[in-house]
Amino acid sequence: MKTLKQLFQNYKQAAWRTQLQWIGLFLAFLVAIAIVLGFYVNITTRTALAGREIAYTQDDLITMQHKISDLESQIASLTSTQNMQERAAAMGFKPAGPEEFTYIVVSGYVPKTAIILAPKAVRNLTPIILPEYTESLFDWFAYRGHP
Amino acid sequence: MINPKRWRYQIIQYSLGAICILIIGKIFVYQTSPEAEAFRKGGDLNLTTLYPARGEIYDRNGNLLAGNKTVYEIGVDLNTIRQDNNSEAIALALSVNAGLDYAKIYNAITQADPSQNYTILADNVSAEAVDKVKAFKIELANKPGTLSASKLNGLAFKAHYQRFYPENALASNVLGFVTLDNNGYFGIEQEYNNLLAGIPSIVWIPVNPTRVEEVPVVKPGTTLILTLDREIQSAMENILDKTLSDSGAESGTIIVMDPKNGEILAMTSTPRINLNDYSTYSQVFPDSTPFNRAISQAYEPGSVLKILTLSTALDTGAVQPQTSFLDTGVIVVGGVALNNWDRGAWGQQDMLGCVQHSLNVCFAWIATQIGADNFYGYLKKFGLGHTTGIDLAGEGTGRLKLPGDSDWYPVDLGTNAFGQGISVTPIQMIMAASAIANGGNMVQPHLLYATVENGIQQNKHYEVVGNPISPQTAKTMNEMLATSLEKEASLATVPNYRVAGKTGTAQIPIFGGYDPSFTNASFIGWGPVDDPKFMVYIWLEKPKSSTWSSEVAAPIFKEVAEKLIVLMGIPPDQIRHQLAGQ
Repeated sequence: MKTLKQLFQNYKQAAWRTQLQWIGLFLAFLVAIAIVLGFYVNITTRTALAGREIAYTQDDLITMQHKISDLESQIASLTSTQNMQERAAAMGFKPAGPEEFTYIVVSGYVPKTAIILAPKAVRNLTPIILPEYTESLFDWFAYRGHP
Repeated sequence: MINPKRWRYQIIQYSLGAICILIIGKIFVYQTSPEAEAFRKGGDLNLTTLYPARGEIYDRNGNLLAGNKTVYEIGVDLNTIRQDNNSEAIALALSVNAGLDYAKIYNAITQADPSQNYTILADNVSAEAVDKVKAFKIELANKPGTLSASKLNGLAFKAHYQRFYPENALASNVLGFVTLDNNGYFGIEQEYNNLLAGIPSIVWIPVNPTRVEEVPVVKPGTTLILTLDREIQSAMENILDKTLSDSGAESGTIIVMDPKNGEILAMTSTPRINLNDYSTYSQVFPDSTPFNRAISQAYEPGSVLKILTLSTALDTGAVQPQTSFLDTGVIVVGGVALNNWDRGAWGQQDMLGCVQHSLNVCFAWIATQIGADNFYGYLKKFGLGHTTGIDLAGEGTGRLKLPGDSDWYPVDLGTNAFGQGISVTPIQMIMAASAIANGGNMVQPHLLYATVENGIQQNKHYEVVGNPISPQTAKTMNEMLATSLEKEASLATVPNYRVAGKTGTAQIPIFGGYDPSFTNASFIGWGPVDDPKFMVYIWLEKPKSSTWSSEVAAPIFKEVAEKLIVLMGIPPDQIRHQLAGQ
């Protein structure tokens, strides 16, 4: 009560001083909010930028996948049977007949096999049912007893 | 006491107030702007369907047979167009740079529904055309003084994949094609459509950039490696086209298979289509023309079927190679007299003579010795009358009439023995014959060599689908068929290589009898006999240069075999035996 009375007293004597205190307090509050908002805006902006960056990267990825497909198709077109035969003929080559071949023994020669475009599937030899699921309670106790 | 400098505080107070009002006002302007309205209309999330790239198709040597290329959907943001009033500029730019129809584009923009925000102007536009339009758009945007109505604002490009066949028509009968809706039709494209197409993924993408969510990676469709060999396929197509041109045949089919495992190395028939221009389908395949005769069109094969009759007879013990038969030129089966192809009598013959001269009378007699139950039982074991299960869409079954069927007559036992009155597809015949070439083991013809998915290659294992005859019977048949070609001095024989084979000249059934003018000429052969690397089936429909298979189809087998020897690197028999002995 005493403090409240003192405040009223002060206000009556020099109202502007108290007002100044309130304004200062309010401004300090505003500055605090501004700082918090600043942080918020900063983080939000950075997140948005990162989001955009990710979106652009995803777009780039798709664009590159398209480019790879296009280039593969382009290479395949350029090396198509018809093109290769025409190029070979233009360079003076002609198809060989069976009588034009000479067969020789080449030690260690490995005959041509079909293409391997990717590693072959490795059969998973791990048992499907792990021992943990097949051992009995007695087995488990025995194991626990004699590790 | 009043602070004399109160006005300073009042200035700060009013300034702060004004700033607050400005901020609130600006927020209000933003919130009520057309952009905000469009943003709100669009919702927080955009529903997007991500389509995977269709799986590629390679031949056995890694040559691309079916891939993908980028094409574009061209559309316009109608709100921007309405604002800039540049529909004429866009129509003109697309007409000049992308070759699109001016009127069509202009009408599509101007006649769009007012409630529409976006409209598609064209789809499947080539990357080259779109690059030109994009460059022109940038040029206009950077040109100072260009009016909005002359710029291409609002024009949008959306890339997507389109099937591309770098070899155009090569192996078209086998591959099939893909339409714009990513559906496969015919051949491999239809058979493996589910694997190749992959699974489209529908995702919600947040409009708010701060709400970053992981966009799922859409797995591309499974890549297929086929058993086809591009070089062999190309050679077979060239040979077939030349043959049709030389012989005047209406159509033709060639199949090359590895008889040990059923891998199809080449398969072609006519007509063929440029798969990049499948819109010509109805012109190329009018009426009910089969897309791939090798698997779809059944026909009476004629004498090539005698190899199955003789195999059955030897396997059941009905005859031996040295069994003798007196050919009087006619035999009555089921009350109907049957004659030889030349209507002549060939006198005393052993079984080798019967097969060498392709005597119908002898084979009708052989069938009677086997008996109907055994004969048809064996034909079923050879796979006739049902599909082979080859991994191609649209396989036919042919027709094997059986005793008890309403349209089976006792004479059919005699005619079926030499390949008339029975219909088979070329693929059925080659599968059946694989049992003879492969020591009694009949293999399933197939085209899929391996699949590649998630970076892992899974090779397919071949299947033996039956053992219709014993290894001994198969060995005897190989010897007889090779010797018969040699003794006959057949045009099918290949210097330095021993091959086995059989011709087939068949009459073509028409309403009320058989066509008096035309025949089907076929040949089935394989080699080298002691270690077969290839099996070839040839069928020419209605050849005009000669009606006889021995004259028109047998030389083609020789040409095919000589090409295969080179492309597959098969040494002559003598060298091969020398090497094996070392």
